[in-house]
Amino acid sequence: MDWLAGFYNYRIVIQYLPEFGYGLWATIWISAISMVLALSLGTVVAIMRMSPNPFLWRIAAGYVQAIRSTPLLVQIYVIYFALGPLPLLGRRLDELEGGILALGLNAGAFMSEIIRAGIESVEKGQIEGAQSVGMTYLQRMRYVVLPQAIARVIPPLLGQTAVLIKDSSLVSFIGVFELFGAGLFVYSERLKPNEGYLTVAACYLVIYFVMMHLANFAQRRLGGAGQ
Amino acid sequence: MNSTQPVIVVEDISKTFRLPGAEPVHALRHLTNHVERGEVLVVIGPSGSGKSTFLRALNGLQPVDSGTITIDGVELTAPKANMDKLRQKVGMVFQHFNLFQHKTILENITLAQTVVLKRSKAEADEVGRKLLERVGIAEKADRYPSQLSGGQQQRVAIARSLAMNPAVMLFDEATSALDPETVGGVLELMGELAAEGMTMVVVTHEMGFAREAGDRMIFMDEGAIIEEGEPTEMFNNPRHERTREFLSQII
Repeated sequence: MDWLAGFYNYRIVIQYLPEFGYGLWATIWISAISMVLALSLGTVVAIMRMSPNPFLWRIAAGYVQAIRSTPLLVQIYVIYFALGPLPLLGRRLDELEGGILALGLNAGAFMSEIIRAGIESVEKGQIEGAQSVGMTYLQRMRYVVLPQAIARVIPPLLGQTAVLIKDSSLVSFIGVFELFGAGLFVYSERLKPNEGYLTVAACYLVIYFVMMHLANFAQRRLGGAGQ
Repeated sequence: MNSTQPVIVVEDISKTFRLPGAEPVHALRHLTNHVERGEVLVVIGPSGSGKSTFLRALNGLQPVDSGTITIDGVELTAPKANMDKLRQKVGMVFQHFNLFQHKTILENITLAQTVVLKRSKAEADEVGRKLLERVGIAEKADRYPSQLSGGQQQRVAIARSLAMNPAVMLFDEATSALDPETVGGVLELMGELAAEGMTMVVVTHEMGFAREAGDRMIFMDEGAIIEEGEPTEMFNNPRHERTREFLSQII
């Protein structure tokens, strides 16, 4: 069994459990906050993109185009190093805030396109039904159109969220300690790549499976039996 | 508000649809009509005659090019009219029901009550359950629209409108998309509403309903009212050639 211990020594992993645990937890909540940010932003941008007002839809289209045509790592660096020092909060953006903002802005652009497709798939009759009982534009969106639109695009949104979770490893480059950061740490202290990176990879896999089950549940809840 | 005034006052409305590359379609040509409180107006005519456009104009789902429409004293063609507020008073029943697919039957009836009328959930539920009982499908409260037959869905749609206490109810070919065996129940319900004094404008091909529940009938063709009168009288003695032709085709 010596070869196995040489390939992957679980004793080292156990020794670094606090680091892995902390990193896993950080990845989960960094991704969760970024996802909430991305979903909210994506919804607003999707609605702006469909607005008859050219000013609104041009801003939305420009934002989506800018995000799609640049690498996420560059976006993270630009936001952290360029936006960070600007006195927006009265202080410098720290690496966590910069990282979450960049992840949210990035995923938000992709999610806005998914949500827009969902909104456009909701039948006109649903909107007219809501209009006929006196609901305002915002009420129709919130209670009738968006729940159905989002329920229909949960699979692609799930895919985008999986991308977001995996991409969140990139914020370790601006010094955020998360799951991949824990792997880097183990490697740099013990020079054992497998104990660091394989463990990290397994953790990403577990997160993905848990998330998939949550999404199935959400789709059933939101969609009603009719979907 | 003077209660002797007509509830619906339509003055000289016109609407032309202009699609690129096609001849403009005059859906409504200088149409004028009044509907009294408690009156049931039946609108008939061939497809493309403008009858649905007319009905949809009455709750602003179809904006008109010119003319004025006043509902219960509020002019909906005014430039700054609050359409959403006005539609609370004008119930509409669609050919394809347009129930909210992601909500249960009860939620379909309570949603607008809570978000538009700001009723409490308990109050909205109570109104909803009473109405479901009234339309005869109380046991389906927790089902979803897709689990109901067309006729049942249409009765839910009627209940959804009634929950807003509308001054007027509009019916846009409410039974055209239904299986024949479910048409009767919906027509019966519409007849009951009429008998209770609801002001109704009904676009329909159901001549039996027109005869029994209608107080007045208009025949439309090419965006204009060709003939108007008491339904039975119109069926028996249509004055215009086009009315005669149309009636002979559908009866």
